Amino acid sequence: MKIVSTVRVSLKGLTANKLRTFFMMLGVLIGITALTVIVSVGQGAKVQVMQKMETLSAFGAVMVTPGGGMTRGLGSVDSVPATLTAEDAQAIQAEVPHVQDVALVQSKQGMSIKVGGQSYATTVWGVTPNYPAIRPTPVSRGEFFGPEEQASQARVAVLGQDTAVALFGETDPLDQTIRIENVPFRVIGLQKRLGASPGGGNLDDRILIPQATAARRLFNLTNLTQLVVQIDGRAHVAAGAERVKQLLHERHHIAAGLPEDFSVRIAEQMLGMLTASSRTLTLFLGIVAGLSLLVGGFIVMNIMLISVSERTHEIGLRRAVGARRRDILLQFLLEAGAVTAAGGLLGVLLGVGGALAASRLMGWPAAISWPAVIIAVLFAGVVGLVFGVQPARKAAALHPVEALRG
Amino acid sequence: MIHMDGIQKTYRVGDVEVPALRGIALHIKPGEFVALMGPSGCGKSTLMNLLGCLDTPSAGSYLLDGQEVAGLDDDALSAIRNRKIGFVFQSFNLLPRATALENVELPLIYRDEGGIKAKAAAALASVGLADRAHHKPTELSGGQQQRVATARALVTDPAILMADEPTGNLDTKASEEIMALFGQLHCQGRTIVLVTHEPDIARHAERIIRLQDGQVCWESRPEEVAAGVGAGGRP
Repeated sequence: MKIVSTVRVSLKGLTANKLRTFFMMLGVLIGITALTVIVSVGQGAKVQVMQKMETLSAFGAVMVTPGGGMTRGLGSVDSVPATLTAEDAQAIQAEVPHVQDVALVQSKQGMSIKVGGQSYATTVWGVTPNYPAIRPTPVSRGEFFGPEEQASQARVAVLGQDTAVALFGETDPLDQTIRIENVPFRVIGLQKRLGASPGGGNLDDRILIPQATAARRLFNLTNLTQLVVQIDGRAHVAAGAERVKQLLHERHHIAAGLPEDFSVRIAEQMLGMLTASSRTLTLFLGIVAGLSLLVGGFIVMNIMLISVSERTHEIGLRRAVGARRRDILLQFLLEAGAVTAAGGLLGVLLGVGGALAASRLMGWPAAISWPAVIIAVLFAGVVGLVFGVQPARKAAALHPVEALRG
Repeated sequence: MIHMDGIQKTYRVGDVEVPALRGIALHIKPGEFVALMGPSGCGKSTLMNLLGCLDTPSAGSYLLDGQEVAGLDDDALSAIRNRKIGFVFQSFNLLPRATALENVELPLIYRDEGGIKAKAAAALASVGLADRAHHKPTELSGGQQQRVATARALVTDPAILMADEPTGNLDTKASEEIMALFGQLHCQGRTIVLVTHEPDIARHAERIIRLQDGQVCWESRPEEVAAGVGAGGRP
């Protein structure tokens, strides 16, 4: 018997009882739909993180923060241990090989801002003028401050978009004066939208001012909340980070075996942390979807078993007119495989649609991974074949005489 | 065409061996029209299954069209059923969701041959149902359904046509139609084996073989049956 006619016979068997065929495919359909959505959204999240890391140009950067442990985000200059200083930065610049540049960051949360009668609170970042070169902080309007403003401790500020809207609404903030803790600053630039930082903070709600201004005129503190070390060439990053660690060990007189009063992180590690957590979630959801696929397989098996016992007569007739055991086996296997493959295909369509809808309506990132889609459909077919074996064997094992009588 | 010698068939029910056929000798010539008769439980269904290669004998020799089939395996028997035997059943056994034409095609899909549609259409025309080719079985009368089944049996051009109570589910008029069709096929030179318990139907055959307790007990010309000779099943 030709395979083409077997396929035709199988499809006929399926279209004969459409409702049952639909229910048979339902479990697999749901499983594959869930799997497709999960994989697509998971893939999308990964792409989004990668893009974010690229816009932040965090590759090749080594971040040093005061205090031990892997604290996330940026601390406030008055609450972090006062262990990290500008002298540390100079030492790093001088002694660690392949260091291109070091930016100093002094940030303080909950600073009171006043414009006219408006009052607002946000984080103020005092950064050295080289900061935008290491962690791109493009301005959409106006300009960023330079070495001159740093040297003269100028009272100039660059606003994040959210902050600008909060303070000025529709009014143009450029050249306006704002009061930070009652110290007047002139707005000289508007930072482009950056979104959330890898640590989770909102990079659009902040005020950037020269670090020297922050230290002398605003915070009256010299300790830093972050050092960003730009290493020349990604290959040297890991060694550079290690050398920074050693150097700070010596400078901070930390005896071997005692906890550090600083932490050194490579931007890629943060990326790793992010992708690892999203991978765990994707894996967990994937297992749930896989289980539903398994349940779908059992549904297929059960309904196929019922179908075989209901169609004993048909099987007997086919045997009488010359079908061999393997023809019957193949017919029922193909029925099961076709049902689940169709269920898989429909599930993929629904899943892709669902993922796209989710990304449009809820702003979830979604990226369709076509290899994963193809694997999903094939996998669904395999589920059908595996769970179809038992019913098909039962059908093929029927004795023609018994089958005709039944 | 058919040469059976010393055919035995024993069924095992639990620990007990139940003999269904106890040494059957049967010879049917090409082109013969033979009726198998006997009371229920006499073994005629078992013999029919053996003749149709649906089952294998426990002992004995069965030459079909010059080929020994007693010891063949399942695949070989399937091939023989496909090539040499055409079945007509009491309950028609048509696939309910398929059209008449598709039902007739059924045996051909288990062969590697082309021209399936044309052959099936020709077979359907030969039983006078060319105009019903695309009707489902439920849209046909009982007599028409049995003619479709007969076309399905003939489409492979088999050596033997096996009919098991073909008129059992039909009224008198339809029965006569089917028997007329069989008579016509007989005239065309078909070898036909008919199982029935109705003397009126057996009358159409050239020769009647009566079974009792798993043995051939009596053979006759149909006129003798009609005359009531041996009506009790004994010579």
